[in-house]
Amino acid sequence: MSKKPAEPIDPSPPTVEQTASDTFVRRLHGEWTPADLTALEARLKRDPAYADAYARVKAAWDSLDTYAEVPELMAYREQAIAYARDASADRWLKVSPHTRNPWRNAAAAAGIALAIAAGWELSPYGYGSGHYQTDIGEQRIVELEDHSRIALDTATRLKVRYSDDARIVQLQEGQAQFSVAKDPARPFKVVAGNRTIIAIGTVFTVEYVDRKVHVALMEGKVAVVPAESEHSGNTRPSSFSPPAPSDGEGQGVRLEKGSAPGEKSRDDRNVTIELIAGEELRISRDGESTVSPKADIEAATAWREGKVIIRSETLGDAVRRLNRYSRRQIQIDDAALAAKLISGVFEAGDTQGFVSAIQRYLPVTVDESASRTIKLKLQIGPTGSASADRERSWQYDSPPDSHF
Amino acid sequence: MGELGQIARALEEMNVRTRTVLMLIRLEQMKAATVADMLGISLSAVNKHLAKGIARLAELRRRGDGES
Repeated sequence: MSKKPAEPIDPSPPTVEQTASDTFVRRLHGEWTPADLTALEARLKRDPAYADAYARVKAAWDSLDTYAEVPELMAYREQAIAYARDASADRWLKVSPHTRNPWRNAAAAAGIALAIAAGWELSPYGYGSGHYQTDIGEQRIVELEDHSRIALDTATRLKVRYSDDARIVQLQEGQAQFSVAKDPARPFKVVAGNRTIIAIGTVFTVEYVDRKVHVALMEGKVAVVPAESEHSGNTRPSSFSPPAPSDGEGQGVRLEKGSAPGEKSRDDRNVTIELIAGEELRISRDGESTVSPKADIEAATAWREGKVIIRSETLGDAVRRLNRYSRRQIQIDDAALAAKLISGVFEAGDTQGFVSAIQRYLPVTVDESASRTIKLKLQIGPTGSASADRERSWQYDSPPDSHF
Repeated sequence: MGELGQIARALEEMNVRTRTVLMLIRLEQMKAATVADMLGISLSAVNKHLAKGIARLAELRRRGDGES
């Protein structure tokens, strides 16, 4: 692309607002010393016209945020994103997959689905090795070169490494669903914490948040092995050879799987656990793993529909999950409150709706004085302790204008 | 005219690049360096566009129509 000539930026003599605005921006974007602050404060004191202008600059800056979500400004935000995308289109051709993609933040913030960044559209190979991530409230689907697909939930980071003999995804944080294309020569591995999930031709979700691993299997078969040997190189764990392409119902060898029906817990983190379709595995921070023969697939995949399903989780855990979808964070300063059990179906990103529901069912006070956090406290009083540990359950329907 | 109408009109009249910089930095929370990178302009040009855009909105407040 030919470089555009520089535009004249400010041909007319500066107004007092422009002078004030220059200072405001300099203060915002670094190169701001204590001496600068002293100078500014002095000028604000002795020059009322400048002080007024500076106040107007600040008010103008704040007012944009006030109207950030109204249609008029949304249109300009979308335009700005499109404009910058076009301007940078040719740069995408040279971009390495390791370069962070600034579009994701923009698209997420504006609520615009930019499914594929411009440069990738032009690539004949689809997505390959590299880092992929989503911002708060964002979800996206990445189709890899072998037609495996990864759906990333909110605030998720992962690293893809494809080589001739392996396909390795390191889930660094968050939640993702993997639809794996069959390729017996190249096992597909997902590393989450100190576990590796090995799959051939299957669909499964992996959540890795707060150093807890949760795997739910919709189709096919996976094996979960210790990840230590995966971190450094390509050596496969000796205890496991990838299962043959599945030919139906659980005919394969069930490594280390207990014969007792129902759930089985173990704390040996060195075993290999094999899962078949419909099963789920949870691994606690301490490495204790629990296999359930009947996975709650609905809950495990609710995020694909923008919902969070909570079944008998502590309020603390629930808040931690909800907070992943929202810039406005719920904060609980009270251990007794955080330990209460709740259940419910919520719109991901609808922090307000969640708080209202909590308020209806638990004796809490809500402090919304801070713009970025909502603080929940247990109400002090005679009503507080009576129903202390009873589980609260409800179905919450979010209003139609939910912003997720 | 209300505050929103005033802002919308000012944005409409703005140079597209100034408005782009203002939107991306203020409302998409992008870093100035990122915006510079995408638009292929210098960091100082980004800051000039930003300052110009904010100044324009601030000037309208001085004229005070609609602003309480």
